[in-house]
Amino acid sequence: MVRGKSGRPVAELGTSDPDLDEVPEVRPSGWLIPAGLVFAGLAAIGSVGGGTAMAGPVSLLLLAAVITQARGLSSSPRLRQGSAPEQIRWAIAGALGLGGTSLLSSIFLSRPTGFLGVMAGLLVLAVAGSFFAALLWLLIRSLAFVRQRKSTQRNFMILAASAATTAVLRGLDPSGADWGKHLSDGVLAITIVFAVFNGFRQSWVHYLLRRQKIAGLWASFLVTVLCVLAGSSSSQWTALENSAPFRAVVGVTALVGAIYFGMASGALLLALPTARVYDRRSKGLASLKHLSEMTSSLLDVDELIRIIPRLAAEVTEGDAAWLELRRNGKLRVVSSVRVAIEELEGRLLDLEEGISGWILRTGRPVVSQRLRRDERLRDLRSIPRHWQSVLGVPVAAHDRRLGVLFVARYEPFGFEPDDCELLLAFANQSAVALENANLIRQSLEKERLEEELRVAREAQRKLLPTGPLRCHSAVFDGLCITANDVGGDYLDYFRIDEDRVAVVIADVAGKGSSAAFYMAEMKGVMATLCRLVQRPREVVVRANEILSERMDRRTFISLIYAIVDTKRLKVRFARAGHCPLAHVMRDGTVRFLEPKGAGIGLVRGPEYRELVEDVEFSVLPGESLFLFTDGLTEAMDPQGEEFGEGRISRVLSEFHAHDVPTMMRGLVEEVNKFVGPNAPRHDDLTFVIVKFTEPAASGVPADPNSPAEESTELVPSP
Amino acid sequence: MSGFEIRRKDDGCVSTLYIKGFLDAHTAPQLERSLQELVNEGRFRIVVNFSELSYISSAGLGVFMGFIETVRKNQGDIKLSNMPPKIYRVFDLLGFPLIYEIYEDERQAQEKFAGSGTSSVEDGR
Repeated sequence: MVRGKSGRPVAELGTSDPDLDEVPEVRPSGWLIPAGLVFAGLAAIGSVGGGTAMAGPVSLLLLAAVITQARGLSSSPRLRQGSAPEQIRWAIAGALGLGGTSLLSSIFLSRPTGFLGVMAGLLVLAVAGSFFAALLWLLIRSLAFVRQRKSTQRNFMILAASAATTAVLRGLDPSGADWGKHLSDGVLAITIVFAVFNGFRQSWVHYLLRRQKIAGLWASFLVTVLCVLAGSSSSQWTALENSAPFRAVVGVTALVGAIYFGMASGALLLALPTARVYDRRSKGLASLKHLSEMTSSLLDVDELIRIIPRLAAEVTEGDAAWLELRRNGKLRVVSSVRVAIEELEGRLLDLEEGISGWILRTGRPVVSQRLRRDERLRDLRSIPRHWQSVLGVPVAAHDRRLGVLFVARYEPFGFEPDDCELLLAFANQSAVALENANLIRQSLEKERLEEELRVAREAQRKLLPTGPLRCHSAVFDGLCITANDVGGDYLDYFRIDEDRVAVVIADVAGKGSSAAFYMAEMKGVMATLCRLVQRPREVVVRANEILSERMDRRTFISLIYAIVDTKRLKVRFARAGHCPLAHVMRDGTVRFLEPKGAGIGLVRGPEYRELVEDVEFSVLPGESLFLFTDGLTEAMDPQGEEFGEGRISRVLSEFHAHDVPTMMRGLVEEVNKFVGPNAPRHDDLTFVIVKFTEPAASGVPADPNSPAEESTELVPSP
Repeated sequence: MSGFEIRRKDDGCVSTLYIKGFLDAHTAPQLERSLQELVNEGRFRIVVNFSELSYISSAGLGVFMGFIETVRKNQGDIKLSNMPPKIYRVFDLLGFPLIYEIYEDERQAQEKFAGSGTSSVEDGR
């Protein structure tokens, strides 16, 4: 007793027990409820048959019935692990059952009826009464055990034990002999005290939404009334001489139920004024949680943009919400809920100057509770809506302000200080999410671009000749080492007929896939033209006509088109703005041939014809031709000096007597040595070598005269 | 890499752009903007002084090609001047001297404009 008194109510600050006892031991419980019903039935029979003499056994049987049924019911997951609203519903059912049984029984048992009548009434009373009592006890337990503390279990066990003792004592001694009366009253007092202690265990109330709290208030009030009704009506069972045990069980249960749910009503009533704040808090938290889930799963920026105003309206219970983001230096409404973007854009003559611009500039939120009277938000008034309160916050991540988030309500004073903080937190998280999604999008974009470049590079590689070409005594070979991206260089050599080979080297301005595209087009054009037109000049002029038409105005192609007659040893070529062609003599001297010419695309009209000419010259066995692009002349050493034609000339002289592969290797090595071991290559390295070999042991047509017949070396002066 | 700078000087109806540094794919848009500005203002007599330019890539060359048609259609021209030999070589290879007027000194280019200016009605001097 002393211990019972010292058992303090829940207000005591016990450390919350981490292992909540909600770990139900697995037990076969199917037989518990039927067993409890059998006990109840036996109690009823015993009561009718044995009269007052049987009061003791009947009381114990009834107690056993309640306890076994309560244990049986507790194994039901729906009862044990259901949410608080669900359990309240079950409690209503329990109280309704108990009250109903009690009332029904009082109708049956309040006036004398036959034996069978009494028997039936008793049976119903025993079975239903014990069942509903068990249900009610169980629910009180599970509600009181929400956020269990150290003392919870103890307090409840004392309550249950004292209630059971009260029931048995009252059942044994209804009239109350002196000693028994004191004892049972004492135990009853303990029961009441601990019912009150347990009545402070109302933590479940906090987890309810406002709506649920209101419903819960009515429900627990109803349960209280029903319990009181059940308790009071049990006193009407006068026709039964031995109704005391039943009255005791129902009465004690009803008493405890009334106290617990009465106090629950009080707790709910007290929680109602703050319910709205709790609701918003929990809703805000839920939205933030939702958003952070989104950020990890949502890679799509558009989807994110769509969902942000929706969640924002949810967090603050707004009637409308919209998101404005910076796009090309201006703010644009990108998504909205319950208001059309078009309605909002009506005012967006220049957003930077309105309230959105102010929020973006200062990074501070704006709360307006009376829109009509607020001069700061003048521009929002032109929206054809009757909003009274507006809340606007910056959407910023790591000091980068991405835009503004607005929520509006129709009622004045619609926002509380909490709402502003909540929306700010939400906007911050949105900004981070947006930034992340943007980064992901960018890296995907980059990946896609790289893939595109890879394909272009592959395609470009396929445009190049696959290996050296031999035609009579001439060998054609070339090399194209691209810088890291898709290059703009191109080379080709192919047979036109039995004796003649066409050679093309070109440089498309710009790099990347567009260069690769022009290159592919050029290959087609050249391959066609070389069969239609004989003179290189004509080929170049026609190529300009065809290609320049479709080329970007700022793009051009420089190229050399040469026809090498390998039988007569004549070379004719035209130069469309390209680097000169190097002619390497037998003695190793090099001359650069640079006939007049302009890049393809420089001039689009027919006047291009006047800007280009071709030249023809003879070659001798042992001589070679060298065609290259500016990637070679402009190759730079660490000091910024260019490789230049002088070095080309020197290297060619050095290697001129060797075979083609050796010449090529020598050139590449020289350039690499010049550029330096760890310098990144800025441009492509592309060249073609045409080597005229000595016909094996045959008489060389001696032609000691000057090989060039018509070569014109232009040295233009400004 | 070295940067790129543009200075502009308006003298009567002739505008001179002084370009300095590296003119490549990265810096070409800067020059493009400057030329676009001139075109927008209706100043079609343009001299570009190359004296301080150390490098020009194909993208840089492309900028001039992008504007020459518009400018000439409006009775204007882009004249080039003061090219260092290395830069001239790049223009020369491509055949620019066949299409553009290139002068040793910017004064010559400006005078050329002034000479043609007298024949035009709107500005006497």
